[in-house]
Amino acid sequence: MSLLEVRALTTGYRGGAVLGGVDLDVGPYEIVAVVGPSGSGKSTLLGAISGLVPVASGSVRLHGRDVAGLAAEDIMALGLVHVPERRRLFAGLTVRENLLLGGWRAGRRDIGRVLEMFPTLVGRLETPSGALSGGEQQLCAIARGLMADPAIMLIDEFSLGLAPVMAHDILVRLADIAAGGTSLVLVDQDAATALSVAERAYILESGFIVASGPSGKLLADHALLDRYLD
Amino acid sequence: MAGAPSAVTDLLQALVDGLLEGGLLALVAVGFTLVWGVLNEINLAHGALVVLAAYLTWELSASAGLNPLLAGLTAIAVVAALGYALQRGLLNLVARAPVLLPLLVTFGAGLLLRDAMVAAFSSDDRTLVTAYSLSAFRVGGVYLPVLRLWSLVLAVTLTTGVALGLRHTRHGMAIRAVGMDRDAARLVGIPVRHVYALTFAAGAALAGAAGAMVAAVGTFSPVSTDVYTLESFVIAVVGGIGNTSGALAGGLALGVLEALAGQYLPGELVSAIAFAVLLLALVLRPQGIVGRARYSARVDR
Ligand SMILES: Nc1ncnc2c1ncn2[C@@H]1O[C@H](COP(=O)(O)OP(=O)(O)OP(=O)(O)O)[C@@H](O)[C@H]1O
Ligand SMILES: [Mg+2]
Repeated sequence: MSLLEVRALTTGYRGGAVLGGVDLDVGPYEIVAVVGPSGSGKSTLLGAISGLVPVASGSVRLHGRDVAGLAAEDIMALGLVHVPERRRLFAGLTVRENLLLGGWRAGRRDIGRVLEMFPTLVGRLETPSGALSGGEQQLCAIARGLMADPAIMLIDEFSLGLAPVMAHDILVRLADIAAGGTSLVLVDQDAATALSVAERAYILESGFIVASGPSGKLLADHALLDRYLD
Repeated sequence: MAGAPSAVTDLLQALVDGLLEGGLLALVAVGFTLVWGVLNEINLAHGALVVLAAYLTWELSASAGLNPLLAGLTAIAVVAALGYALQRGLLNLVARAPVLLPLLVTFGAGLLLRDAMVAAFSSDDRTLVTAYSLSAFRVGGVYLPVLRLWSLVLAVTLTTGVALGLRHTRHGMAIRAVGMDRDAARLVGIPVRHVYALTFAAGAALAGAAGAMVAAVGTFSPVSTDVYTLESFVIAVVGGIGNTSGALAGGLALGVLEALAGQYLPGELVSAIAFAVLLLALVLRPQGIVGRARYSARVDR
């Protein structure tokens, strides 16, 4: 059984339909990438899965249970964490407070485990998260998500604004995280980066999955990459 | 102090009266600023909640013979429950609407409450006279009513308590997070509908505490509702929206100003003091209203 199983998912905003029936599967310990051009609906897909964007039709199964239509906070409590676009840290709160809020629902107050994973944050604990560099903010957002010890984490735009060294650093961490039992769905406009760490990938175009499969196979298909990715 | 010129004594007395009244004003305003800052709701029913709690305290103690402290606590609980229900049942439905819609809802709720109180209790002034309501002591030539001193102590304790609670408790953290970024709060698992209602209930409970105190030390009638709402508005703007310690400082300042005005200005000007302070605040720091310094990171789509 997949950990996350999305079937025929459609949704949109007042302006019109955005997703036209998306299927997606994520298994335990897996890293899956969703790539596609700007405006193709990647963030909308993550939002529909996590409950931020209302689902129009289709199903979202988490551990076999249909969670489509549940409130975002209740889906989160079932073990699915969404690290959204632009990170959405609580800018006026310190890094420590942001981390504590990550563990709020589960009542976890021990930040030691995630600090071990992201030692850069140790010296920044009392800094307002809004004052962090872009890379540090991304680390903080991922660390905040991990505070809940989720079964699966959706990370939007994970490499945006990161210096290459920092991006590489995060990629290594992500592999560790997945190995530790948190499956990952990575969304990025930079397909090469996302596919370099993901085992499997989906290419989203205008709200439809136009291709999917092992990352290596997709990366080798130059015609496909030229056609759908910037 | 004995033998001091009476002009000095008068000034001291005005200052003391102002501080004591200001404590009460701070207590009235702190719940208002909390709700405004966190929920982005200007609660025009706030003054009505204050007066409702005053009536409930009065009725329970003077008519039903309950111990005044117990009466006050009961009034606070009732008003808090009412606040929770109002937010959960009505205001949550318009939480994402432009600010005018929640404003209209609270305006309507305030009118309804006020008219209900006129119908139930008439619009005559009331004053609760208890065994200890008249006791006071004198320092030099200055007169210190004991109950009013207690209301200042309560105001300082409660505003400090609210600030500490927001900072250090689980629900306080949730309230601040929701005030900053509603969606991000949901993504860390905070049940926003409940926390919204809880915040409003906390604001109402503070209004209730102020009302219970008003019943003990002051005079009130359904007409007072608008005055309390206006004063809360002024204090929130002056102290910084959502800033609870700012509300304490703003309340004390407004109390002192009004008392000094009462001493030295003709009567009709005294009631304009709150307006004058508001205008001055708007001219000097307009970001007080639009900038929302406390929760400026809030993103709501
Ligand atoms: N809150 C919203 N209200 C209305 N329309 C929206 C909203 N968010 C996104 N859209 C529209 O939905 C479509 C898909 O947007 P989405 O943000 O999901 O794309 P994306 O693939 O994440 O793009 P990017 O790579 O630029 O982040 C776009 O046409 C966008 O304009
Ligand atoms: Mg996006």
